[in-house]
Amino acid sequence: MIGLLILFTFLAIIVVALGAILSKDITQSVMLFMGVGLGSVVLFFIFQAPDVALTEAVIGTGLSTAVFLLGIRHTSQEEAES
Amino acid sequence: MNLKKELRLKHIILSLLSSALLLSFLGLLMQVKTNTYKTVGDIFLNLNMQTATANAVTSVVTFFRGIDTVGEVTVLFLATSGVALMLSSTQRTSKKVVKQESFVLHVGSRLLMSVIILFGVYIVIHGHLSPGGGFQGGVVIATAFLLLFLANPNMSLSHGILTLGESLSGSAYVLVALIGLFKMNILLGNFLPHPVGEIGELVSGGIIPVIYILVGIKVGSEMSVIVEYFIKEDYYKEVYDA
Repeated sequence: MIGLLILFTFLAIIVVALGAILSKDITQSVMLFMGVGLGSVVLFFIFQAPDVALTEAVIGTGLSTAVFLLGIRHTSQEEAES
Repeated sequence: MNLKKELRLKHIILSLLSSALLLSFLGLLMQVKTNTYKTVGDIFLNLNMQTATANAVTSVVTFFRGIDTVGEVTVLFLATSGVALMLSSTQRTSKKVVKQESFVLHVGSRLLMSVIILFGVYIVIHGHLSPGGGFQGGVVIATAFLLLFLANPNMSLSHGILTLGESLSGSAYVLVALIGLFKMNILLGNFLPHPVGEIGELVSGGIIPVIYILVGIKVGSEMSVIVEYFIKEDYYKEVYDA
């Protein structure tokens, strides 16, 4: 049962990562990248590393997505000006 | 046409490689249950009773490999300095936009912020008992400030207090490490009393909760400053454009 969950999480991470690479919209890409972090949180928790899971949830899913989105907003403004 | 073919070949090779990697990883996973390895983790688990912390990861991070944490804090300080140097070049002389946020946003963001900060402080203080610690709790506190900035771009943090807290906690961390060096002859020696019988209590583990609280203050203030710089850059640019 737990092996099935692990396998499903692996496949979901692969699908989401492919979507993040192939997506045309960069905001959508960042959101899908957040999904990769979410999947790895589940994996870390299953493999009994709650410390790493907490770090990944806070940094990879929360703060880095916010910084990415702010950076996209900033750079797209500059591109529109030039 | 040629380029398209090349791309397709690259895709096929990449997918073959990744599936081979996945298969080998799954093969490793199958063997995990049957073998009982004697790894470095077992050694640390056996040594964990010395430090009297309920969370074995904490004793590794702050005691056995404490020098790595010092380096990590230094790296974070350098990153914050770099962000500040890059993004604070434009002088903040522009006048503030008086655009009042809605009442629901105002109240809701402050309500949520207090809950998030409470959760962050809980993670920092219970670092030696439950998963988490100074770094994770500090970042949780910084996300509370991120929420506040997103709700109300007019507000600003007082950089003096943040810089003071950050530098004081960083210096106190190094000071604690040096006191351990002089009293116990090892860097980050646990010079406070840490009886094994008190394991699992809030005040236990000697200097480990102290270190985590200091790291929490440092990481929280640094991350808040980074978030503020990222948001304010945007914000002031909009003001200049308008």
